[in-house]
Amino acid sequence: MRYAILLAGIGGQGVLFAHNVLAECALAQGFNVTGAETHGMSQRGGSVVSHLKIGDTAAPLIRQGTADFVIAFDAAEAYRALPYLKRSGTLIVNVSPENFPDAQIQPQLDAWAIAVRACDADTIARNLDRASAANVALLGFATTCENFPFTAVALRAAIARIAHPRFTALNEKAFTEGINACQDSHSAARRASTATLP
Amino acid sequence: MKQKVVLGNEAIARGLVEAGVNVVTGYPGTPSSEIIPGVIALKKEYALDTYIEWSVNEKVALEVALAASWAGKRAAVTMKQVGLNVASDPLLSAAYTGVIGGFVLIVCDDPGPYSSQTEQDTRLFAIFAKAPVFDPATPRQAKEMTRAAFELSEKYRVPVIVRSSLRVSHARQNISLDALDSTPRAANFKKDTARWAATPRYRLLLHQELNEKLAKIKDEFETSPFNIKFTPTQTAGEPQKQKAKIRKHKFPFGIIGAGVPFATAQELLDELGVQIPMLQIGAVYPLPQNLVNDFIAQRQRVLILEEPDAALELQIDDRSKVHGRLDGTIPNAGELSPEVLEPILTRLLREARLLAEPRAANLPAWGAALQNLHLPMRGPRLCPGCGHRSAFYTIRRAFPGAFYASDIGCYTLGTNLRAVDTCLDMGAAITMASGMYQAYRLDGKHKAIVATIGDSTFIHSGVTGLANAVHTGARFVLVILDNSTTAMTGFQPTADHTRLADGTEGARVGIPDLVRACGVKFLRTADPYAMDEFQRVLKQAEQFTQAPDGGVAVIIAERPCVLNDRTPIDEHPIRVEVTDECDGCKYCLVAFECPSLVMNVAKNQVEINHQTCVDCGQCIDSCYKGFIVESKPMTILELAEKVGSGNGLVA
Repeated sequence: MRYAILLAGIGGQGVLFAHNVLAECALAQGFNVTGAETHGMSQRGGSVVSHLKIGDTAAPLIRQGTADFVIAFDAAEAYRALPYLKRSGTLIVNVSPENFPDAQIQPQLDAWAIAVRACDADTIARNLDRASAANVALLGFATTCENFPFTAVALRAAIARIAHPRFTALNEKAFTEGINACQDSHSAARRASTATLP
Repeated sequence: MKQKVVLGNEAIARGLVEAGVNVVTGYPGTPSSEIIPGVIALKKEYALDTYIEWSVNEKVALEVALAASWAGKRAAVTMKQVGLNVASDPLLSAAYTGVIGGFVLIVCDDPGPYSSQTEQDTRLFAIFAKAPVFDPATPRQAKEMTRAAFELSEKYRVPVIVRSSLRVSHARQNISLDALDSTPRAANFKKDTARWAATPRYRLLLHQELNEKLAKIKDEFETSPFNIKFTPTQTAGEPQKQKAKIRKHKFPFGIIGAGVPFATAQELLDELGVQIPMLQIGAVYPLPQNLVNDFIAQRQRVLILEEPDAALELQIDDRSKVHGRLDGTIPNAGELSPEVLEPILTRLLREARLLAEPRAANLPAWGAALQNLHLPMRGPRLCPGCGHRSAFYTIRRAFPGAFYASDIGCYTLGTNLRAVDTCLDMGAAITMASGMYQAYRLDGKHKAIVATIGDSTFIHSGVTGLANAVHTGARFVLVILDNSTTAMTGFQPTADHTRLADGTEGARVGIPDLVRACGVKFLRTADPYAMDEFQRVLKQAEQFTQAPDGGVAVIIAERPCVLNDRTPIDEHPIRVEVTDECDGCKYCLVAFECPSLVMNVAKNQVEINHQTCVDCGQCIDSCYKGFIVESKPMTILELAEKVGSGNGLVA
């Protein structure tokens, strides 16, 4: 298996945590992982991007136009990360589906046949009274996306292994709510039907 | 074998501990800062008795570790690439004197650069210093090379450098967890004045000895497991004919590379389905000349891939068939990222007829489409509640138009408040202030000068500059921004406090004592949060710099880093709000620049982002119209409505 997943957000949203969960999940299933992360400036309000590559490769960075998935915890960072997606790649983004994507970018998304899956993970987290649970909710939502390499069972287990035990119950709830958001939302995959493959 | 996904720096820490390192020193610097905490964690996990130290600067760190090596212990020192500039004096000398216990420098480069003043290449430094250097491409290689570095260092008695880089140190990869070396190494310094205290004529002998060592190491590197040939597998169909063809005509194109760019090329070629001969050089200096020349001889053209400079390429004798940085094929500035490498490599492959021309249909570029969205710029800024912001805000008000000499740390972000004019290297705030004073004094002119420096930076290399300033009669205001930690690199402790790297207690070397020891006659401590008082003290300081018997005036601005220690704020939270009278003039955004002050474009009013606001209340002063106010505490009635009647909650 070879997957490239780019995670993007702003400092404090748990981009690194999500990276570690996915890496741990891949390792548990016997795959090699490599990747890269940004430090330091991340806590000072800057963008945080982390690259995760699953499979046998030594290169830590995902080249633009080759990522299978972009998981974005923030709408602006989602837009910024779009160039990393491959043709027919999937963007999973923490935003209310009504507010995304901007109509101006739709032609570009269609040309690249990008599937957009939006989930308002922030509201899920707010309802659970913990802003930082949004990333777990988004990971739950991700497992409902077509071609996502990990099952809900596997990811749940990885979260339980990585996260602090005192958050176990909260993470379980947030993860489940993320999965449920798939059924509730009108964030159906927007794949251009007329896109031609080279 | 047990595997674990770790950060590159954690892999290096693991390598140090598996090699049985006895002493590890360093100074924080991105991207090297996680190595020492990694060693500390392993020390605790395995109950080792390794000595680990955050030294006051890199030169000190190197010398401390080196002495342990001369006593027979295995020692290592960690730093970022510009830290090696600070530690260069002892390194160059130590290459001549040699070492006893393995002595390894882990130096982390920052191609880009992403958080440094230069994107210099430590491998070029290694050539200059005559110290062998390894160049890992992955965390796994970094661990293996760290272990091998100790063996090499002890065998030839030379310092050895492992040159990591951002994309190795801050990469993540699964590594194997191997057994720890527990060979006892007793401290036993053997006197040898001709070596350890060598005077110039002995230095000549040592230099000749060093050159002999390097020749032997070069021979060893010809067969190093870190210099790896990748030969294309036989093509299907007519393997014998193909082999003969390759023998008869040189394979048109090959790659010699080192570090992350080599790995990037490997993956790219894999993606393109092209196989070419490749040679990975992991032991870069002294370069295994025969290995490299043989490879080049068999090719028509060779591309050299490395970063951030041409350390490998420059060592190649005959470069007539070589393309790389020296002929401009590879850009000479910036990271050699996959996006930069791809067009270069595909062009060369096409020219060598190893890759078909691209298909016509190209997907539209993203650039223009994204520009139209006007995405918010998210450059680095001081955190909400940062004491430095309050200090800079007041400095600007007290001394508008002054020359603001500053330094390296979180407070460099004072550029966003236009209160930082210069940032050169560690400690330069004080020395540049002195020099600026002297320049204007030559013309008989007065120039208001305010230098700002952090607590950790001051101890690192500010003290010498301050002594010089007092001794030579320079006059300026120095504000030591003391947030009680080394913040930007991850809250490492400083010598101004008693806590040591591993959490045990040392002795305090107080900043006020250091300042007085430099002969400073005006020293005050002030809280930057108390803006009026802070401004008063700034004015007093300025008066002192202009008094007949005056000189340098020092103010220690004490306010703990808000990320590291929230207690002072949590004890006295001041919740604020922007009133509805706000007219959207944006003065607060420009003058105070707190990330929690956000513009509501639709309403044309500033609002508080309460998710990021830390309730420090400092922004209140920044609206001179009085539209930022402390939120009134709720009345009992309002509170009752909020919590709902009958559910028993008490406010």
